[in-house]
Amino acid sequence: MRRFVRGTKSRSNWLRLVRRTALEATHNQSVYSVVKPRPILDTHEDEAGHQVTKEEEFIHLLMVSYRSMYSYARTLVPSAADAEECVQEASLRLWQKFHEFDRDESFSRWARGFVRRVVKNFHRKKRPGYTTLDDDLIEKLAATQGGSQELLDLRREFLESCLKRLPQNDRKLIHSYYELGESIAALSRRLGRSQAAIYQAIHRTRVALFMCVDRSLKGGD
Amino acid sequence: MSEVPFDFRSVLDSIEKWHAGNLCELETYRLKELLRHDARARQIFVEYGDMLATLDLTVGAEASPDGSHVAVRALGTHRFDGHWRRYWMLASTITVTAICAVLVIWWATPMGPLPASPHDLAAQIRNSPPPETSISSSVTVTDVFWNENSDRHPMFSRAGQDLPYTVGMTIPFQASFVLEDADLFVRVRYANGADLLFQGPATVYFDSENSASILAGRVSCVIPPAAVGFTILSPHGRIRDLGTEFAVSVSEEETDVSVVKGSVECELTGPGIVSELTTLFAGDRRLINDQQIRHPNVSLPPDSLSSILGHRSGIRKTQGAIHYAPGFAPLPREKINRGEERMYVYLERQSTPLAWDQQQGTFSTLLSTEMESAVLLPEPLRPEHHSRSARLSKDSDRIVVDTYLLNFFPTGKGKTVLAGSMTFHNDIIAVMTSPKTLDATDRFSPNPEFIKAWEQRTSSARGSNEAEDFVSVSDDAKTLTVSLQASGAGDQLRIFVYSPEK
Repeated sequence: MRRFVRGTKSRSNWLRLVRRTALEATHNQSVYSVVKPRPILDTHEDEAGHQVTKEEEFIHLLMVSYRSMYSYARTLVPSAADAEECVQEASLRLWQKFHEFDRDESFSRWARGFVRRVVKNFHRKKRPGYTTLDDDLIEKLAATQGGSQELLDLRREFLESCLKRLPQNDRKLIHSYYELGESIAALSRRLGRSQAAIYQAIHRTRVALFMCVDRSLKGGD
Repeated sequence: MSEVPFDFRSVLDSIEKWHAGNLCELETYRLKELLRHDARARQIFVEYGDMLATLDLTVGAEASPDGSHVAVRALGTHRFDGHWRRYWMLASTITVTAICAVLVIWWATPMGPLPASPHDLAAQIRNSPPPETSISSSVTVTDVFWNENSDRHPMFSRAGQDLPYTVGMTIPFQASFVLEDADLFVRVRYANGADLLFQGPATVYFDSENSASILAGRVSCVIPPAAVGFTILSPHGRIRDLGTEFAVSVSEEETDVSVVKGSVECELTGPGIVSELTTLFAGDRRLINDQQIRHPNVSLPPDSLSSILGHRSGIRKTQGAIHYAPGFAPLPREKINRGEERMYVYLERQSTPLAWDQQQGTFSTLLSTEMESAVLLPEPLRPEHHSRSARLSKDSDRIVVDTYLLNFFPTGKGKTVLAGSMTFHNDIIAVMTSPKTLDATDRFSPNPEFIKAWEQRTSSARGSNEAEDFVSVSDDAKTLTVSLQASGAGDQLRIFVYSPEK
């Protein structure tokens, strides 16, 4: 029976893998830190010349970028609660790494990178497996999202007018569910309809809204 | 990739269902494949997600649009001072140290039954059933085969001890897995259903829930829809599954990839290399080395993968001039023979229900529709050889069989004699020979293209000198030994093997 000689083939293969891993790590590092990060002092001068602490600066940047981060997570994660969790976790990591942030770079873009990594972890841990998105697909979707920011801004503007144009019952339902935060169960009790019917109505309305925005963009309305 | 018809409304419905958690497994698989290959679908997905985010953010209390609540949670509810970071670091360090200590204890403990001491933390951890929601951190060995002539059970080394490979044992992620024996086959299963069969010698790392690194050796992968995206990493490249069955052979010089069903994506991963994704489909084969992904001279899977692919198809071993040809219908002889005299066996039809009349020694069809019965077996088949020792199910009138076709098409015009044997995992029930090539005379072939009237066959396919042929089934009904003679014309055997219903 032929034996596998560890000292020759396996070792050279192993060294090859180690070398490649190390080089990949170096390569990745260079991608993430194209500009050498500047150290962040405990206090910092804002544009108006006021002294702000790094905590204040962080909160300000996070507030400005939150919408973009949440939208990023919400696209790649099925439920709003999970998307919220991902943004929470990304925010914590952002704070831990805030000293590495280069102020010449866009905080939003930097933050979205963290969200993307958290979302990848979320999908790796999620059950059942078939509903998850793999890393490559997340990268592809993230690239699409990164290149569509202006279009997405425009769609948000049209969404407002489409919301106003919804039939009265649908508008009330969306208002109660999203703006008032009423639960499906509460809506079911109040409107005297089954929970499944409420779910269905919300889903139908969301699809109708999306198509309305699409038509508006194409100049159909 | 061929252009897929694009239905905007159905894509939108699928995306909405995905967000609502109402998409079934098959629909999810289709959606993900569409997203992977169609930029329009990705654009809709992104736009829809952004719309949902906009709607969510109109809720005032829980998710304020400016994110101030998140900032407060990220920074803690108290105002920061210089100690916060130190407390956080201290807590993190303690947690990480505790986890590492548990892992070291677990790793250093030999596998097998552990002492049932209530104070043994490692035993408690290993013996406690994992919660349903836990993340899998290991793969499970589901089958082990080794050379039956070997005088010892195959062993592996762990924590300084030699332990036997056993069905049911688990191998943790990131642990090395070395198969030293050449005839050792180990089959493992991931929690997501990915099924990998390794042939020794091999060195493997199970990286994570959906990937494995192979430094050397051979692997055959069957990936279910739930595990699409499963990735094999070799020193030369990355092979990513797109819902498929494929095999990989890794040597020091290159990685050989053959796709049996479905498709995979390959790319180079060497330092400084920007590689295009290469998509392979069923029947494709590529060689990946440090610089390139190239076409081989022969598109059939290499001999190095013949054994492992045969294993997958129920053939435990082939010897002599018999070789396994994976997953393909009879090919033109000049392609299949590759310039040398060989007999090729391939799995022709799987899990066919048949009525087996042991007294008469005949097979009849048990197919679901009249049309199928009429086309397939209009009259009972009467194999020339049948095994009386085959251990069948109690109800032997109705059995399920896998059928294999052995092809012998000599390259020369002169008399050629080839001999060999093949051993199956399950019992051989019968072997059918014919004075003419089988695909011309019986109707069991799954491929209608090969069912032709005798007059339509070329003279070279009109049989051989069977008088000199020797066919024998072993006493344990597992091994078929043949010596076939041909003079220009082809020779074929059809082998019926019992297939226990799963």
